[in-house]
Amino acid sequence: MSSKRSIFVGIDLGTTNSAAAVFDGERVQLIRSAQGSGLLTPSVVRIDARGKVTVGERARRLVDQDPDNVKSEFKRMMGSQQTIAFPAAGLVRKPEELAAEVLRSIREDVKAQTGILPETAVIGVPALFELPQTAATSEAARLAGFERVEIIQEPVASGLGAGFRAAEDVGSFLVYDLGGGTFDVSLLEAREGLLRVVGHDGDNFLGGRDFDAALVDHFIELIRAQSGVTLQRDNPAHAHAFRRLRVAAEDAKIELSRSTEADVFIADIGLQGQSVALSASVERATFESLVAPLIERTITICERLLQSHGLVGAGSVGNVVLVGGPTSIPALRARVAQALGAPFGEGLDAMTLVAEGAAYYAASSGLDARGSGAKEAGAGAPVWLQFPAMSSDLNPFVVGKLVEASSRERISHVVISRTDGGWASAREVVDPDGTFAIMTNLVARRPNTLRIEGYAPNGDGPLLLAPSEFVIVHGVTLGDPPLARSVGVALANNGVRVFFDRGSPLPMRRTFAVRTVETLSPADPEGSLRIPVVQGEFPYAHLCRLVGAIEIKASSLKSPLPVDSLIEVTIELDRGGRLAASGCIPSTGDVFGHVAQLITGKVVPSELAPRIEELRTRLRDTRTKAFKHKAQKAITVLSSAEAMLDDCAIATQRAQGGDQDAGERAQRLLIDADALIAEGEGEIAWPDLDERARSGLTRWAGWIAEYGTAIERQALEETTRAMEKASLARNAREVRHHLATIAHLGNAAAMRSEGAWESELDYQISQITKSRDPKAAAKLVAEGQRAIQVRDKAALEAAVRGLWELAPGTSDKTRGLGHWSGVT
Amino acid sequence: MNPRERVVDNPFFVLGVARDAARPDIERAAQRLLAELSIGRQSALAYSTPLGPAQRTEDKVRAAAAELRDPAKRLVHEAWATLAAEPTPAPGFEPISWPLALRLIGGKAEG
Amino acid sequence: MNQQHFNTVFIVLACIASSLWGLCSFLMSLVPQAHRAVYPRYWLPWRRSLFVLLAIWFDWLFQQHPLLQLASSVTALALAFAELPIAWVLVPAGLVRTSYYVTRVVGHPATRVGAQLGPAFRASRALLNRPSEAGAQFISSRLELYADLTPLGVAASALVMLARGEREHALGVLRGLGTLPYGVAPREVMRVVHEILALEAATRANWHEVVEWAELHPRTPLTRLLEAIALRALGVPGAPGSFRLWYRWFWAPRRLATRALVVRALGFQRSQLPAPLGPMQAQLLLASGYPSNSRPLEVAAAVRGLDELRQDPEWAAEVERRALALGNVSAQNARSRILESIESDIADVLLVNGRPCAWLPPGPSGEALRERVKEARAERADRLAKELHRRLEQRRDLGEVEEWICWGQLAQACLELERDAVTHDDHVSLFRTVHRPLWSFGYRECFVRDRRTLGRAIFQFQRRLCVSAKAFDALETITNNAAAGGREALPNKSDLAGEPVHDLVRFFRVRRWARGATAVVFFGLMAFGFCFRWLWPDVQTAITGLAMTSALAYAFLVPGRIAELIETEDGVIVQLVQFRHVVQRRDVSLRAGPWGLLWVRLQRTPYWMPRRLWSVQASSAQARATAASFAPTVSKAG
Repeated sequence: MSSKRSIFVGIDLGTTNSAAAVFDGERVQLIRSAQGSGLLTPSVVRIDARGKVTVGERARRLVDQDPDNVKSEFKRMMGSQQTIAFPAAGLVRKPEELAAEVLRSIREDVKAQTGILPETAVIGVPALFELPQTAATSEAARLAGFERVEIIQEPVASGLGAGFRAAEDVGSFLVYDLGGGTFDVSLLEAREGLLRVVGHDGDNFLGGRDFDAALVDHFIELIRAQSGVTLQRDNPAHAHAFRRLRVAAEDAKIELSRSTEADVFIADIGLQGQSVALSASVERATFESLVAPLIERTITICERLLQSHGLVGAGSVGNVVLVGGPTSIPALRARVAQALGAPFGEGLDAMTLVAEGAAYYAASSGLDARGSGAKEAGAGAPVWLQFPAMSSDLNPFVVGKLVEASSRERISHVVISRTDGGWASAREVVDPDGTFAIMTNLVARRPNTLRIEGYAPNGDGPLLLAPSEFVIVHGVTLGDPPLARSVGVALANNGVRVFFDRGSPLPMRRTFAVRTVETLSPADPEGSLRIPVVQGEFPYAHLCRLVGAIEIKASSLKSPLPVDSLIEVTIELDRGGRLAASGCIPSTGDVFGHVAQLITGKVVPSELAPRIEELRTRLRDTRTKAFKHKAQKAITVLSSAEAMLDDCAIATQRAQGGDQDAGERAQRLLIDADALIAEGEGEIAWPDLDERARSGLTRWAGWIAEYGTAIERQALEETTRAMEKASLARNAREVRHHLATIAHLGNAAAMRSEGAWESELDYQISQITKSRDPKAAAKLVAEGQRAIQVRDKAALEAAVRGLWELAPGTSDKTRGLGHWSGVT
Repeated sequence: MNPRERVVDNPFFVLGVARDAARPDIERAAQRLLAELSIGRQSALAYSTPLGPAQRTEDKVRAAAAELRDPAKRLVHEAWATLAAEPTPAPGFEPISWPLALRLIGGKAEG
Repeated sequence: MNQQHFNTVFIVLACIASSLWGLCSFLMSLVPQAHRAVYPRYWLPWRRSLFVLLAIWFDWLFQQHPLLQLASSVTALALAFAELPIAWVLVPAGLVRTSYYVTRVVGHPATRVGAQLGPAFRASRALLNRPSEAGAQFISSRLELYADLTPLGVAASALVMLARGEREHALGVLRGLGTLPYGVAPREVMRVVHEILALEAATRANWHEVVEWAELHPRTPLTRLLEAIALRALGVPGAPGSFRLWYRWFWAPRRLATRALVVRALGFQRSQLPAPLGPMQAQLLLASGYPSNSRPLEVAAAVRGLDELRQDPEWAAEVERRALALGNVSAQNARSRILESIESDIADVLLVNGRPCAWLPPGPSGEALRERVKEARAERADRLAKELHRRLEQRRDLGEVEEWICWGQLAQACLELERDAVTHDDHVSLFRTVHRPLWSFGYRECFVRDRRTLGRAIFQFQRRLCVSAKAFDALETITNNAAAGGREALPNKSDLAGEPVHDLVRFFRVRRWARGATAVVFFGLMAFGFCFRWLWPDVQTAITGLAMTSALAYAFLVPGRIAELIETEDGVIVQLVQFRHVVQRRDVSLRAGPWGLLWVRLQRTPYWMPRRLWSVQASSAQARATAASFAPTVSKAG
């Protein structure tokens, strides 16, 4: 292919397999792997003892011989702190670096087949990738030598691919993407040639691997039946055996998609000490029965998505696009067709659709793979043209600027015409600043070559311009890549101020004003204000992932920053998933940059168990309350949360066996469960508060009636009335304040009762360890006890009051939950 | 989003399209404006609103196009787009400049 | 009358006056905790009379040299009535140090003996006229000597910030001062505060706020002028006509600078509302006035427009039509979202500038908005109060100026709520929201950190809220606090045991000696002074007499200035005859003198605490040791 034509590269960096496609404006060409593994390059990397790196098919073949040094499925660790060790070479690599190896080999393949070493590319990532993972992918591409990459979500890419192939507007269609490790389903809509993502849903931890796992479980049963050996997932000694079984299961699965029966034979599954063989033949029916529940899960997710957009019943979508290896399973295809009642997009290769779509997207966003150095300079007046390389619009505008001032005198009019002679524009006048905009006219669904010519004021011409010709392809395009998950700023009250909603187009830049909740004074050195940037759909900051933070050090301020002063926070997101944030203090004009920490925390299985327990307790008492208040909705929510916690417990158990993936999954389940419980608590928050108010009233009213002064009784009456009113108006804030007032009144009265101060002193003695100044506290306690002996009430009171002064302050728990945010 | 921004940043004003413009026209307008802004065409740098001219930026254009792509949001913006015809209201009384204020309290200038 | 008589009369007058002064301070020093002894109310008149006497005396002394005579007498008189030269010459000329020291010498009407705050305030006004880092340093070094900057000190530091260009920060402090009730702070301070705040509002074209500040007492010609201009700018009925405007301009300062402004104001005509005002057009008017330039009638029009829109069939039909044209969109949601955004806009206009809810007309939307705005404000006050409480619980104290800013914010929030409060319950909920935090804030500031002025301001404010909420259960204690904070009582710390840094017996002996000696000398010289006239009736004796009497008068301060230092873990207790104060070690600087004498120098102490003291050690060696043990010490110039 000649390098005169611009080409566009799209890459699908998959969990198990990767693929690449090249689009030259006319037709798309799939890149075959140089190692003869067809169109796919397995995402497998091997580093041998000499540190030599092998990628793809060759590496995959060596899985059995040298499992420790052949690594795959590093994609799901991207963006985390985890590293991958290669014992033979004694090397440790980050997931990005391994991904970079795969990308590099793909890049080489592209060069081999197009003669061009691509400088830019578009890479597909799962829709549910968060910023850290996306940024890691960009980083991998950079390591692989690409000078610029953009990220597109796989479902969008496959939708684009499908939509581009479809002859006419297919209307709304569903992309069912079951990858190796993730399941994405997205609802797209193609109107007037423009593709729009209506919504997407999915499960980050449901994929082909789970199908394998189901099969592996089956094998375990067989082994137990045959040789009485029980394999446990959480037993590291069995890890190797499991790896073998998994490989076998994968092969069997692929086999079963074609034939009705697959034979599995492993001479020795590789347990230390004993040799256990596995020989079995799996019928398709058995396999289908094994994976049926998994398929059902995908179906429910699809229906959930459709319902959330008011599309119900079979045939509500025009078309279903299947993406990913497992979608070749006949049972799955049948079930999906039956459940969604829509035809599958025909002629689409489920394995390479993402790569194709990515290539199309590269074209529509003008990412010419020849890079920046490919501007061919011709004769004539240089003109700077701006036009969409690919347009869904039949009449896109071409905007240009005469670069040289001299040529602006010479050329007063510009004309654009199609080289096929089908159309020519009128003479467009050039503005004094040398710019012009012309509406063109394209032929549908094919590349259009356009010629541009200039005319002198006196009308003679045509005068040559450089470039003199350019190409615009007409086809389905995507407006802007949508953001996968909302991005916002965590607030001090554990809330989230959303900056970008999910689905908002990238690149994006927004500025919002937030207010500080504490005073920063340059005097104190360790004082600092934190503005955490989080990503996630939850209304509570502690459930969203922390993707960065703006730190404002008190020492860096010139003058103190009082509480409740404005800070203008600006967040920028580019198409590579890179995030930049900055805070500006309008009053002084100081700007504070963003301290990136785009890493996802490593999951420590041992930490998971206690958190589960904690959640269970929370769940329990929330549920008891819910039953008390008969909050039906809360009860249902909580029961689903409990189910999640059970799954989570299982996943944790697996994680303890060294299954990183299970750990990730457990973490996510934990978060979801937490969110559900929080929702349940929200449901019963009001009745609970109301109930607390009543009980508090009854408790304190007694004290006040007995020991209170007339004034206090009157105040109680008044406050009670006000509280009634507030609870009628459902104003929680008011009710809390009135409750506090009543409690204070009650306390005051109670302290008049016989022996109140003595018991208070005892209580303070029990709290003495927490005191701010234990030495002084001890002294006060001694005084108090002396006072009790000599019956000196005043001294006792003085001592107790002193102890109250020394009592520790309340810890700000919510602040901790909100990633220690200092703004609201 | 304060009242002024709500009027000034209204997507219809930013893109300079009519209230009942068809989707392709809106996309085209956005594409044209982005191109013009990227080459810095004078005529594209400012746009007129009921509250006087305003600065046009690529971010604004991109955001505006995105807003109008979503029918639900577009319907809301249309309510303000009806204002386009009305003339600009008369400006209020000019504020006192800070240097003058400083002189009045016997100040010279800010350190 | 001849010189003889003049001599006699003068000396007698001088002796009587100074002896009275000494006698008073002596008697007062016997009464424990009597601050009036150290801050006599007749202080300023006394200084005046002293300078007048000096003038007369100079006049008599230098009869032979008319020039010297004139110069000296004039200087003395100028010092006697120094307010005018300071206000008209020194401050406008921006002579920071000069105006400081002159005020220091002649005294400041609003401050008491030893307080350098009044001088600092005037110096800071001068600084504003000629900003210089050196001057700023000079003033802040003076302010650092005080634990309790009175409003004078706070205002002075605000002006210093202004001169340094830290505008927002300074304004925050001034707003804090602006919340003080009338009469708490000296007029001189409040005049400046109101002027600056009104001007700042005018720079934001926030004319309503200008009027609010300008009509607070004490008013000044400048604020009157600004008020008139603001009323013109708002175009409200009854705005001052050209005559009143020019009249106020005539009295205001910097006439040349303000003339153009007045002309502009007279020429300006605020546009009236178009007669038939469509709902969306009303929104447009509101938006055009945003942030701070919308009038009540525009807000009212917007609210009414909202009401119209709520039940306007053809608008609904129009939205329906468009919804159908756009495909499957719910017109219902769209309508509610539009109405909601309009409502939030109106609420925004009220909230951003703290406009009263009274601007909202009656009607469904008006009521809804009133609730909404009220809730938002209550929420803010709650947030500020909570943060304050949290900070106090964690004992995270700030510098006094920052505390004033925090206080100002909270007070502002409360004032807005109070202004919007219509029912009794509103007052109750306001009081209950801020009661506890204000309580602990005031207590800590007033009694723990000796910032009486701030503490008193807080308590008085709290008391007002309490009364309007009829919360009698809290009233008594708050009143007591206010009273305790008001009296310059001892800092009510429990007795602190500790190690005295010197030998008490000797200390008391010295003190007794001092008392006795001074008493003897006092009465002796009283008699002696009256004998001058008959023994040596000439100039020298007159001079000696004067010198001796004044030396004698000063001697009476000595016993009051001998301190006992006690070291505790909470700091060093400085015990005087009448006062006790706990200072941090770093704020004490000692210098060993002869005969075991110790020169004690304190900083960051309350204004009622003397700063230069003596203490006595058993031996000079011990004194040197003690002084060394306290080194290195922070000692401020001055």
